[in-house]
Amino acid sequence: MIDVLIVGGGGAGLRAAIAVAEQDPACKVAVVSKVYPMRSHTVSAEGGAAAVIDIGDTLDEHCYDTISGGDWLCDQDAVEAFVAEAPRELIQLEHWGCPWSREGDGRVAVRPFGGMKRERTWYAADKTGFHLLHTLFQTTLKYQDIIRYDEWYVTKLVVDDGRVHGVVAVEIRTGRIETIPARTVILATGGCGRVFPFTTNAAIKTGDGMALAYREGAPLKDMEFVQYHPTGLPFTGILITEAARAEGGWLINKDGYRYLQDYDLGTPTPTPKLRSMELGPRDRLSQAFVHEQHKGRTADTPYGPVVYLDLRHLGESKIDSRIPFVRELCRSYQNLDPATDLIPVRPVVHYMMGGVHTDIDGATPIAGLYAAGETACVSINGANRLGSNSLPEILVFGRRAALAAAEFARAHRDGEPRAVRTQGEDERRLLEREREGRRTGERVADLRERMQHTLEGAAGIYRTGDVLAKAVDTLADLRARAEEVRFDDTGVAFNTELLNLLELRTMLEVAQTIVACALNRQESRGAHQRTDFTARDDDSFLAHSLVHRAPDGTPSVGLLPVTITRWPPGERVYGR
Amino acid sequence: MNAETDTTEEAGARTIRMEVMRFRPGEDTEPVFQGYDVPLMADWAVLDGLNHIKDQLDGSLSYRWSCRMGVCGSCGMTVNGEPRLTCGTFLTEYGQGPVRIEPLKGFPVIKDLVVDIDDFLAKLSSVRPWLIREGEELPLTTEYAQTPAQLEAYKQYSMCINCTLCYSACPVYVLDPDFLGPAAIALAQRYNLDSRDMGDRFDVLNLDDAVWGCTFVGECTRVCPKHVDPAEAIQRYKLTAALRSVLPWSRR
Amino acid sequence: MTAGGSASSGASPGASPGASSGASQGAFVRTGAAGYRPGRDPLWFARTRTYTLFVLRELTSVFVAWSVVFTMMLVDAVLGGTLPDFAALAARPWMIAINVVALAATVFHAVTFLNLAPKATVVRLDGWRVPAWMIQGGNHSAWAVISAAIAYFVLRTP
Repeated sequence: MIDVLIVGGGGAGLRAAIAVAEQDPACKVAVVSKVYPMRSHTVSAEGGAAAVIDIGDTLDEHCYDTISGGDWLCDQDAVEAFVAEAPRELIQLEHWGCPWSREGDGRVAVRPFGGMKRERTWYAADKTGFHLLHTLFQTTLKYQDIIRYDEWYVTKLVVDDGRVHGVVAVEIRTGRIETIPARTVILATGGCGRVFPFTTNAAIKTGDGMALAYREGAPLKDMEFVQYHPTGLPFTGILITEAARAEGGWLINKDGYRYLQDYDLGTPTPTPKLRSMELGPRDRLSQAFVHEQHKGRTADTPYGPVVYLDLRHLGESKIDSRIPFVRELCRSYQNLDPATDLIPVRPVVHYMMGGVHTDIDGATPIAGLYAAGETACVSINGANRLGSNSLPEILVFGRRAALAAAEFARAHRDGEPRAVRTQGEDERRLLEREREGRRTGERVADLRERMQHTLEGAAGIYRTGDVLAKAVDTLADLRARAEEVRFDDTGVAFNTELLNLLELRTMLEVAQTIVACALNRQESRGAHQRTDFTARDDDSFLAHSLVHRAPDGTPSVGLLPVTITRWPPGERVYGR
Repeated sequence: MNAETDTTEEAGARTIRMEVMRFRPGEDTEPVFQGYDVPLMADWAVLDGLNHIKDQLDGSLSYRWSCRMGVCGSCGMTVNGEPRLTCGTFLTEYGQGPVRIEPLKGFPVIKDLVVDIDDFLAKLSSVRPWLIREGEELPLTTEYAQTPAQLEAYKQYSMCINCTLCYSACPVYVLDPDFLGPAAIALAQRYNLDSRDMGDRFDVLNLDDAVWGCTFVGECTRVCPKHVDPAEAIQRYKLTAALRSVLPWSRR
Repeated sequence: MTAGGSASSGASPGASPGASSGASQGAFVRTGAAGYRPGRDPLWFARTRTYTLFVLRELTSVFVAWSVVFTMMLVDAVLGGTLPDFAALAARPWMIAINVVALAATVFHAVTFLNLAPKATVVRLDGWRVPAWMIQGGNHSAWAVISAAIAYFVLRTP
């Protein structure tokens, strides 16, 4: 029996696997991932990873930036633990070979980042996530005992009597359905950006882990907080990193005007100023875009309104040394050169602040079930995550969850209950029936598109009660229709159509929780902006949304107090 | 993808033919080509064409993709005979078409455009691609110093996304699957040339099936979408290995 | 192309190192093998231009070898006093034809070889990487100088 079974082979999952393998070689650890681990979406992270390293910076300042950036919805005990452990995690990565960019004397270099008062963002040019993931992946290869299930898709958690006992998974290549018994399970499947039509997220980010936990009774938390990144390329949604602004890039509207100065984000300076203008937090920048659009000051393209990111004044050599990937992406995918051209950008769904409700050790309310990374909501990101906090988050909480899970596994040496076999058999029958295919009905892709546009319309940058209420009905209807879709592929081997169907149902379930939480929160905070409740309301909503799955399958939303330690709620001030 | 309806219809009149190799294990003994007409859009990559087929025309087509920004390494296929990342290869490059899509050559085919790369992964592991240190570790409060010049010495070889295009382009690998191959050797060199690494990979590189198997066709470097230049990595190690054989006391 | 193994289970050699559950090597879990293995293509080098050029370059080695043999014959003739016989042989039309081809092949081989040198030796001067064209230029210049020197010694009238 596996002691620690990790679902997901991205940054959080691999960090967890190494933590277990390093700490206790007797502990049997496995990583189950629907893609080869180095394909995971961590690979796309660009700008950097925040951790206090420089003299002159303090842990408290990083805490304050994070908490104010999150509009006081962060659990402050979690933030303190996170900020304290982030530096050792990034140094650990350095010891494993991560090619961090350096200062002339050989020390690790740091750059400014949005919403951060100090320069504390470590970076590997602008492929930080890529290098971080490959370093982690290559380091796992050192541990021969880590068992890898590459390209296996987990369809169900086996939960009996409030405790997890393993997973049911499909080997994608053969279609073989297997029950993998495990003493603990760590969910590290990343976010769910694909519930939206326009996202930086890779195709694989379908909220699998969130739905797996939610279906078995674990609550999700703060699902209404969806981060729009202000600078995505139109059409593809490819991310242009915040580092482009940290290195001095400007956001201008169609008149060439640095419009952020109109939105209480400071006054323009030629060089970047911390916590000001282009280095404001992502939620505020994306909201400013919408206002510019309403004022008619955005430019129109076939793929919607855009503003421009201007990097021309940085010069070719700075672009090539600090943000070469930005140039590569613009040239390959947008057919322009940022050294001489303006980059058209628009806000794009980027990150899920919410996720599976966990404590500070990644533990969910289901015994033996843990979650870490974007899948989880600890919560350190509150109502809006700061750029470059997510990479250290996956490391810190990947490790914490791993150590807690290993401890749990050591304390629970009992054998597997009958439920493992019976639930495994039931799931197998279900999947086999599904695989017979269906010649009539709607296509998976059509329903997916409906869902995505529903979410964009109802749960975008600005939300309104009655639109959200309508979306609740639309999604319920889509969920029913997703049970009867047309489906061509009846083969067992590499049946991606079956996967797409399972992912669609997963996403619909997650989408329902997003809309339900957004409807319930009658205030505006961070990334959740209601046009019908425009102010922050600490009296009623200084609390997490906690959403359970009701017996009839619909989401049921409650509130959970926020943990405040040393930073009482205050005003978010940028550029002043 | 955010293809808005009006633009789809606008250019909907123009289409391009995609000839896609299909292979259904258990049913087919030989692959067959199937043709699909997809809209020819200025912004569409080959991958967008495949997604259009999958979503609208034939749900049974299988292929891998994920990030669609050239960094996850999933979507390598043979496009008109050339190994390419389909997310970064645009349909308009092929004029009137047709565009022929096949799985990456040199690998066994699992289904349609999906190939088996487990062998590649085993090869990657075999070169000990991790930082090897001897003696006492620094505490987790201090980093190992590395100057920008020292970083530059291996940086290029650390850019590999494991897309396996270089294996597909390498006639040595296609003819002899035991050849260690370009990406694995480049990765070994990524660590060999890292100033923090104290390891030795001579035993796995100085072999007939490793660097000496390379006949320097140079195709790996030509097709590499990330400019890793594995051909250079291999030739450089040949020199290292040759010097070491002559001067047995010299390390690296 | 020929059909490979069927889709049935059982790993085929070479492709699935961690073929069965819990296998230790690489420790990845895999229960089946790929369905189709393309056969070897005997004409692989004729399929793309770059492969053809590569094979041509490899074939020029034969002429490089011939040039060596021919030079050794010359040395042998000089030392054995049979230079006039050798000169007569070398003057035959078919021999001239062979040597013209051999010269072209050797030059082609030498040029491509020298062009590839920067791949094998990365030269750094104080952290600055010497660009490939400089190394190649240096190689070709050195080659030209040495050839000129040899030509001078061989062709000068005694």
